[in-house]
Amino acid sequence: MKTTANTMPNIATLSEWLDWDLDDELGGAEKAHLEAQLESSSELRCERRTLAALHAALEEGRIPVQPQFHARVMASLPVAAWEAQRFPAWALPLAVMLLFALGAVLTLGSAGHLVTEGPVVGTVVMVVDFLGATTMAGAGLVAASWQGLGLGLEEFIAESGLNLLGLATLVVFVNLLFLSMLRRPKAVRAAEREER
Amino acid sequence: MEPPDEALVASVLDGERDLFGELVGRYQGRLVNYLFRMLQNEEDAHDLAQEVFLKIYDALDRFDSRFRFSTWLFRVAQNAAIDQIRKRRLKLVSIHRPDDEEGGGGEWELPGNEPTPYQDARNVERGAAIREAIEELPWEYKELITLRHYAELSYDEIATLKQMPLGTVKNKLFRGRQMLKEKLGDYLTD
Repeated sequence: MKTTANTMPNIATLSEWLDWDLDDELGGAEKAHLEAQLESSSELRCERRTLAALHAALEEGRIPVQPQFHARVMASLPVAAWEAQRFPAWALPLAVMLLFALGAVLTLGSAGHLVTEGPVVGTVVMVVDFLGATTMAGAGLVAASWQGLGLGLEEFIAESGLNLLGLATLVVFVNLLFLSMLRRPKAVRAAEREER
Repeated sequence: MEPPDEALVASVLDGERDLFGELVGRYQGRLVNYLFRMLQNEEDAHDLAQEVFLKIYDALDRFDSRFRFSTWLFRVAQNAAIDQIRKRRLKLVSIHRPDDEEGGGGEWELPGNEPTPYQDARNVERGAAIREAIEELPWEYKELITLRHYAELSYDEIATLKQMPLGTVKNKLFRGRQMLKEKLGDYLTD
């Protein structure tokens, strides 16, 4: 029951306030109101004593924790799945790439003229050259394939208006599919949270 | 000043495994007592509390720091306790020993700490009466009383855990305590 400063709360409401006050869960204005009522009402003070005795009695039945419990828990902690994933995701691919680069250098770059200022510097230069060359080759291939794809599409669309409609429908469906795949992990996470 | 629970969780996830012990230390008393109230057996309460801590540790990377650690811990504990109760089909333990036991029937001896023998006996009787009164409460009230007084959760935390409006939690706790007050009557005015 909502009360204002000018409304006198009834005894039922005051009993509720007493109970919540013993749990330190009563708001400031209501607490002040209650304190004022307690001063003038012996019935309310008696009720408070009884409720305080009940709160204390409920606390009495607590059992002690066994002395070895803490040590037992710590000793039996498992190796959690998240502990095994300590390394960042990109570390393994980078390590493999470097390994391949090193292998390429050792097998393909064994000619003396490639080592300029010692084996270490020569190796680093070779790795950089190798990465540069593969990036250029890869970019060139990608550019060529996109150009080829573009030419092909242009021809396809020019043949008939229906072809354009068909292509547009395909694009829309593919986008919807990607959207649904992106949303699925969020829904799974939300369901997991609810379960927890 | 003690670091908040969420900060400890972050440190454990960063590799400081020992800091999980800090969380265990903070919550072991409340967790064991909450489970004791639910399972009515001290050994089972300790065993299940250990299981709960291990489950929490295993799932620590899934903890959502937007919510309180205590709420998460006691949600896991509540589910574990309910599973255990279902599996074992727990019966209420009588405070009276069966008559065919050696020494005959009588009340369980429970510890008391009052100076006189009369006060000792009265405390034993009171403790048993309180336990019985809590057990006899309807489940929804018993659960909230247990979460407040033994798990020591705040009203807000209980509302979050039970997915109940705060006003409902307050009203049910009040009603539950009124029922206990009626049952326990004389024991509260000693």
